[in-house]
Amino acid sequence: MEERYKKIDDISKKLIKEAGLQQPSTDFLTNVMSVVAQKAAKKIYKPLISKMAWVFIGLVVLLVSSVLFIVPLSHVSFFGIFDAIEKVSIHNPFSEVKVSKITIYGLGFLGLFLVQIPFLKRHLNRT
Amino acid sequence: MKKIVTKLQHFTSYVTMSSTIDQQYVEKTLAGDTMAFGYLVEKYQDFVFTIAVRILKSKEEAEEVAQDSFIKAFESLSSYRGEAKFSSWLYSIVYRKALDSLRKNKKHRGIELIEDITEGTVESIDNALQFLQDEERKKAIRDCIGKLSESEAAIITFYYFEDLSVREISGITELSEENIKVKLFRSRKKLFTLLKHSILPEISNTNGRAI
Repeated sequence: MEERYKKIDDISKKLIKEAGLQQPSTDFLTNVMSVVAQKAAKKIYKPLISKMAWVFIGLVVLLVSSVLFIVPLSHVSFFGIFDAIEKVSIHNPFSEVKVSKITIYGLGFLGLFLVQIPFLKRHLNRT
Repeated sequence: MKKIVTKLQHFTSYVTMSSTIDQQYVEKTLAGDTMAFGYLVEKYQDFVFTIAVRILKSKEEAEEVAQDSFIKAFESLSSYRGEAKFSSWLYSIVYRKALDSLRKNKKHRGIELIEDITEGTVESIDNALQFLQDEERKKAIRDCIGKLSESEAAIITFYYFEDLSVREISGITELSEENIKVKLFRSRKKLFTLLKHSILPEISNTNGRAI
């Protein structure tokens, strides 16, 4: 039984080896490598704000906030600027405009649709 | 016996050497040398393409899937941990991609014709094949492999051509080792049934009686 099985096994192996491999088109390697080169170029990600710039921004924020914290400026009201805004009364030009519910729903769905785009883009890029 | 052991050692050292070389090229690629990946593509393109052809049964689709597989391998190279051989990892990508493409196109091919094959039939098939010209013989075998179902054609190629173990094939295909053994048994039987019908028509026409 074992002997018989071995013979069939040997002949199978011989036949499959004889069938050999098939070659893809001649420009297969070139095609693959050109896409790979594109992907590799994309992979090198350069951040818009470099690490040094982040450190600098961090230091500035820290410095400004510590100065504000340490130096007492009790007579200067931080909220003073808002008083000025309150004094200026601007008439709302849209106060008379009435928006129907349908328009609100429409705008709502448009908003949702726009929010979906980045998610869909990411999903499609992945597949 | 001694000869076999030395041969086996030689073979094992060859396999280990080949996978160490692959590992070096993987590391070079990860370090940013894309040309190193070119070496891996060149080395494995024929086998990857053959597996795709045997699953998809179409050269055009196979070329696309093989290309996508290499690109996918390049993109996810950083997730390759080196636990399995690079080749096995690559084969699992092409196997999955080819099956996905088949599923997308909802095509299922392969025949369900199985006959009892005896050792005698196998030998007469082998003898009859020897009468054919090299190219004709190759074509006859290829055509019959092409008629196997997608997973059987791939598994029989992994096992007999690439000499992978049942365990390795199980890792690539995510099928159990038992399942692989059953599929190997069935695909061998199917292959010989197909060969019998294509090159020994006089025997099959007379219901097993040779003229």
